[in-house]
Amino acid sequence: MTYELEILFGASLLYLLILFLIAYITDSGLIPDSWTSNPFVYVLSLGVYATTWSYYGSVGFAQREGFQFLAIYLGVTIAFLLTPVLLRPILQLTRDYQLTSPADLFAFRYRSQLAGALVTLFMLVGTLPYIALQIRAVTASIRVLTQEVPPQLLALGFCTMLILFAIMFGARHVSPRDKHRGLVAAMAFESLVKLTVLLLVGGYAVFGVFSGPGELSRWLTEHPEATRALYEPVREGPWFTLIFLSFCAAFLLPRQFHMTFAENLSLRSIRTASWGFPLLLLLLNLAIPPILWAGEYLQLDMDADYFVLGITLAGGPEWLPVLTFIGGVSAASAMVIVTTLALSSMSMNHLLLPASYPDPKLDIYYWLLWGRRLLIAVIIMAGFVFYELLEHNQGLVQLGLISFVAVAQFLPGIIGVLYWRRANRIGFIAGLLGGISVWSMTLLLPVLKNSGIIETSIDIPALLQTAGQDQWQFVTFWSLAINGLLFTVFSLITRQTPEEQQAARACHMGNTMPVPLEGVVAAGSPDQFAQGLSSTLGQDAAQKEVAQALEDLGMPWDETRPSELRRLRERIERNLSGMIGPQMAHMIINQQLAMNRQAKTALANSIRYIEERLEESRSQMLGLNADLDTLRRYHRQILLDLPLGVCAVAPDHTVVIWNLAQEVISGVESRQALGRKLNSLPPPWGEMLAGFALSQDEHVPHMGVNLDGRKRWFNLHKATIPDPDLMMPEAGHKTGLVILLEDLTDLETLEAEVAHSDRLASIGRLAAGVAHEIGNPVTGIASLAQNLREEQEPKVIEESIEAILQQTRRISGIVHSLMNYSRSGSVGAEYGTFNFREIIDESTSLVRLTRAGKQVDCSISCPDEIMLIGDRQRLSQVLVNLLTNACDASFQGGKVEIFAFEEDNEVHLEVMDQGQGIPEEIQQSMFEPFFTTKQPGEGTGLGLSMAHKIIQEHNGRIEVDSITGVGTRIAVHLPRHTDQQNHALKR
Amino acid sequence: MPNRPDPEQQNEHTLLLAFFGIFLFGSPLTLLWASDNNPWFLPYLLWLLVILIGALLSRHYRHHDL
Repeated sequence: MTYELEILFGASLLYLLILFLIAYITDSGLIPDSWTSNPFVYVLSLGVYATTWSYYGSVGFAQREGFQFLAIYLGVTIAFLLTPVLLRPILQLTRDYQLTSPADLFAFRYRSQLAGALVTLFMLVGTLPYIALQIRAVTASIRVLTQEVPPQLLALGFCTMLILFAIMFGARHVSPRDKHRGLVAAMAFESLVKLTVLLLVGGYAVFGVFSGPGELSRWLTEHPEATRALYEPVREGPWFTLIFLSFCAAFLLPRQFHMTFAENLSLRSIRTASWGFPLLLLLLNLAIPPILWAGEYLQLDMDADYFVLGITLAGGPEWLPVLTFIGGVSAASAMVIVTTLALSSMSMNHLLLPASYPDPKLDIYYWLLWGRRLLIAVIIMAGFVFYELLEHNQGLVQLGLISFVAVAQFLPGIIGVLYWRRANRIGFIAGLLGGISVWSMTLLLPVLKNSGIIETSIDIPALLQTAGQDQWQFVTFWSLAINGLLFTVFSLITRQTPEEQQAARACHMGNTMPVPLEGVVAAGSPDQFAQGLSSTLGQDAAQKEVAQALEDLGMPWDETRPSELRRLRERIERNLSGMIGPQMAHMIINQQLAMNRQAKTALANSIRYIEERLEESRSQMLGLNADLDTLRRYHRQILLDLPLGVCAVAPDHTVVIWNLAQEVISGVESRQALGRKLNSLPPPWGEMLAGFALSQDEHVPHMGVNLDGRKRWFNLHKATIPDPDLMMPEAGHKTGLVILLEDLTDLETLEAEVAHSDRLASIGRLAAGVAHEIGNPVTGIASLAQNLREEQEPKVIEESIEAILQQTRRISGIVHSLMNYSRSGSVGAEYGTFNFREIIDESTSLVRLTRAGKQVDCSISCPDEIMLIGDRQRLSQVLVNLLTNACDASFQGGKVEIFAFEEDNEVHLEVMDQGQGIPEEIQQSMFEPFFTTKQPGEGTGLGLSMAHKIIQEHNGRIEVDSITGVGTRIAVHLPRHTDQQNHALKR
Repeated sequence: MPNRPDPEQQNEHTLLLAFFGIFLFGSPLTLLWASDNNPWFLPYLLWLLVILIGALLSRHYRHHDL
């Protein structure tokens, strides 16, 4: 059975049109995004791995090398099973840094344009034979079906269709953030076609050629050599080498890297792919042995590479060979399209752009898009030229394996990316050059020689055959051994650049900790960013890129915070990296958005960025990192929940931490405060905190702030935060600060109430004395009034009235003192200057009203001119408390002496009694609240603690000196009235 | 809230499975299953076994995604 060329051409044209249609309706949004984002669509799109080598070549490979053809898929299976530790970290890296190809990945990690260019060139050289192989498989399959040599024009037409498709659906967007959903859907469809056709042909082999599994089984029993031929090469051939090569190819082949990482639509899909893709490969290969045996059973007179077509021609339904041919077209077109897209992007970013960067006056997006499209055409046509030059007897598998060994040379580089931080660009380039040299000599040279492209007398395959060495084993081992050795040695003996170290930290799998952003961007606003970039990108593109980055980060155009601008700079670099490659993007950003080298960056400036990155990458943290992150979150929660206001600032006084209590106290939300300079915070906080941060004081007690018409009181504390990156700060170098805000307002109110209660309690104790003291003059007044009724003598009347007035003045004095003492004062509101002697006299007279006060002799020694500044009422309360205690402790007829004098810068007050003294163990706790040695009802236990607190508030101190059986001396030291003290107290 | 699988444990299990795959297909054990007397579909069955274990592991750790 033969077919007309026109039918096959028409069928393949129709198939490619269906492919166009699928891609078109997907891109137009007619197919819901949720369908194309489905993990199984992603798995099917990865089926681009199975090219015509798998589709046609596997049968021939199975005939020659038995089950070794499975090794090409088992290595992929192992690579995909290792998804969590191998593919997922690479996917994360490519998404984070917008890397679209292996060249991007290596150029980013090794911060080398040369590395990117070398990888691109090597990929191009290693892949062209593979593209040529696809074209050849299609033309060869036409020859099988038509029994005539197809015209060259047909291959050219096929290539033209692929160029059109790749341009229309694979190069629609410049940025990798816009995925080519149409391409993904079309590639998934291609895999579905390949799978369906191969299973149909396999089914035909079993049920059509062998009349069922029973017949096949009987034939196998009769021909044990058929099974033996499959197993034997596994035991003797380069089985392990092939598994290893396919392991590397699984993610390093340009098309695999492109579909697995660059066109990945949903992060979750790779989890399904870890088992779904190996399952797809298993199904694709399930039919290979039955097809092989069917071909042998039919004794087909053709290359076993094309048994897939051959058995369908020998008696099958007429549509099956055409469908099988379409499956082959599908396998070839998928490979050529995706490989070309990947190579065009690599060539653009690592060869064309570095060699000839476009004029900024041109539209860079347009330039990039059409440059990439032109490269697609050039690469496919180069594959066509290679196909024309290639020796057509070269096996399909031979050409495929040449590419596999080529991409295996990137394995040491990948180890450097993910696992070895010390690896550097010199090691990578040296290793790659070593591996390329071995590969070129042993694999590329023989192919070119066989095809007559070059002339050489060296015949390495023949030499290896003579030495009894397997070619693939030998080349794979030695190319990688030399590559790995050079990579290791050069990485160990040479140093990394700081940029490379930073990239290594970002890539290293064991370290998911984000790399802090360092430095300060010289440009001060997004507008200045756009202005800076316009000289390279052009005005419109610069504006668009800045706008896109601002949108990504949710920042406004008027953003000026240095830490946020640094994030913006980094985001722009990442976005540009997807468009023009990481190294070009890095260069442009470094040139156009320079960092201010003078401005040192502290770790504190990167805290927000680090925390965001940590939150993003939390799920990937392992071991110690995960533990450290848990610890970090715990400490952060402590800071956030701390009932004290916490405000941490970077050395440039930019707020980096603003906890919940601080939000409540200040009414300023953390998102408003973070990243702002202290002095730009809303009033009164800006002035207050910035002033405190600049002052020499480490503590400011009792600072009053007017908030919403209400006075509030705070204790401020601060401490410097040494930056771990600046272990030896230079003289005068600013460090970060943590400022604690202790809200005293409620406490002060409570204390005022307690003090008032204490005073009322004292008054209760004074009541009897007061009644007695008032009772006497009242009695006197009553007698005088009685006498006045009878008295006629004016002089006596005058004297009586005077006596009555004297007695009433006495009563008024007592009442006035009591009222002064007992009224409730607002917190700290009564600061003023007063005479010390006055309050001593007043307090003494009050205490004398008490029963104990009456029994002792109080003597006062105090100069009249001593002036104090403070809360008169509260200091009077101190004196009353001290004197009451002294009187209570004294024996009847005892003496209480009060001395007050000025010395140096202090006013000293001593209250001495001759009582029983205070035991030492009680002295230690006598200032604690509610501590009392008095009987219940006689004291609250608050007196001395209040006295202690009030003295402290007046920046004074109180001391006790007591000898049991001799007496007690309580000494109070208060600052003298000076202007400075006046100012401090007013604060 | 149910306990989520530990990512470190997932990596350990992944590596163990990969070692199992290598042991099965990349060690002298190959000589055992690649014996002439074995049915032709045995390599496929072993391959399927590895895939199934992988799928089970993936399902077990489905909460630990990116």
